[in-house]
Amino acid sequence: MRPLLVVLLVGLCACGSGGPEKEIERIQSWAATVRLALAEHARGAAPDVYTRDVLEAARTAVAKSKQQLDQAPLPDSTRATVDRVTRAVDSLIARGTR
Amino acid sequence: MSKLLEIALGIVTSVGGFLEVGTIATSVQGGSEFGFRLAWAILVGTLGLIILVEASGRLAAVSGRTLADAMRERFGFSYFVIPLVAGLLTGYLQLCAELGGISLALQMATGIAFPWLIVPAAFVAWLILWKGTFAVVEKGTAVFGLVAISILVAAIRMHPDWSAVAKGLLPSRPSDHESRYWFLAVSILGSSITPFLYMFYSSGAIEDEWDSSYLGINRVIATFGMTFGGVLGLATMVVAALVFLPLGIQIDRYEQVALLLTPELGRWGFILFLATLGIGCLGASLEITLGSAYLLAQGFGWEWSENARPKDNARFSSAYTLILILAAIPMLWGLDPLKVTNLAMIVTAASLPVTVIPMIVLMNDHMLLGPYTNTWRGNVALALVAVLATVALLAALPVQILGSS
Repeated sequence: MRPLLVVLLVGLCACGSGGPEKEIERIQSWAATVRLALAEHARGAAPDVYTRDVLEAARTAVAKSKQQLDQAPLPDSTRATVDRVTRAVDSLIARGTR
Repeated sequence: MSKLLEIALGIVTSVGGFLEVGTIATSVQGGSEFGFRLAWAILVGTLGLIILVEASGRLAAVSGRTLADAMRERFGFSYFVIPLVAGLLTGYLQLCAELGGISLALQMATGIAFPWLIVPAAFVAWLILWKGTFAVVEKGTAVFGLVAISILVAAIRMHPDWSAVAKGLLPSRPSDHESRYWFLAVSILGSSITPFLYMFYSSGAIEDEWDSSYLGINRVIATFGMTFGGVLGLATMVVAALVFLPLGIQIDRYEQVALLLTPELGRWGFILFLATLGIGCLGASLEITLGSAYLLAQGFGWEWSENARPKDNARFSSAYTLILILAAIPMLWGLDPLKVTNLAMIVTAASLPVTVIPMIVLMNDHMLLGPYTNTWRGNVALALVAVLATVALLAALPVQILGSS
């Protein structure tokens, strides 16, 4: 019974690790967050302090996802997508912090 | 007139106390990832909570015992240890998350990193408990917590497709991301049916000196208060579905959630959201800390009352002081409050059977409740909640592993 439970748990852990698609989705989600935060900041709805906070959170989250993706074996086309999305977020963050 | 006032205050308390870090986080995550499709989980959780709150209030009003007292007396201390440990563990995790919620609201307002704000947040909570009475804790923060109604206002102003919202009230299987869907469903259940709510409610009934003349008030407060609370949770999901889902924003951190109301309410939306998060989490912190101290005091037979001076209930007041200190410590290290919240909600859902199943026995005990024992309908309702709680327990570990990322 116990070995079966261990196998089941290990299997579940392996399934639950997210994978590259999840990380790419996460980067895209942060890109959308940064765009929304900058738009709300531009119309005066989001204060400076908060906007800086979100940009910093985005920078940290995207760097973490990128690091995980760099270590994963990815097809060239996926890696190109990752680089493109990451660059887009970085340039948004750079625009926001100026 | 005074009973009407009590009903009004009770409903206000329930509404204000319902929306805290767990409900906000899980409703926003559900809405941003699955639109209105998880609305059924809020409905089921709210119905379950109404049943449990009504039962625990009736038990306290008729028997003069809190739920914890009745459990210890009926099943013995050796059984009571299980709900005691489960209650303290879930309360502890939730308190960590709530302190994180207060501090994050302050961080987003001031720019000071939240770990620096944990100690002031915990100190304010402690000071209110130390200096305040039960009425201050119960009603004071809840009245301020009514600021959460701004989320309902935003939801109405955004003119959602109400037929789609109504469709979401019926359980359905998602076409993809199934493990994530069930993870959020169990988390929403855990955030709605939290044992601290109905355990605290029964202790509150004793603090407020309820007797059997309060049974009608109890029913009205349990039904309307929790329903309004559930409506606020649903409104949060609706707004998240309208704001975040079309943009592809999935909530990884609380900083993202602060944009919930700005598209509709502008700068006021930002302020009202921070106020909702900060006040809601402060109110919940007070209730969880007090609820955990009640549980300990009732378990070990100590004197307890928030209305007495701390030095007259030294062990009780020391207990809530220690609980707050212990909850503040891990958050000082900068643990992600959203991850702590999600873990707390899953553990809470898993812990439900240890309090819900014994309630079926207690609510049929003529020695405790005399003529006010459960009707067959009450038993069916409580049994359904117990089945739901058991399913949540069995699902908790797999969904945590499969769907938490």
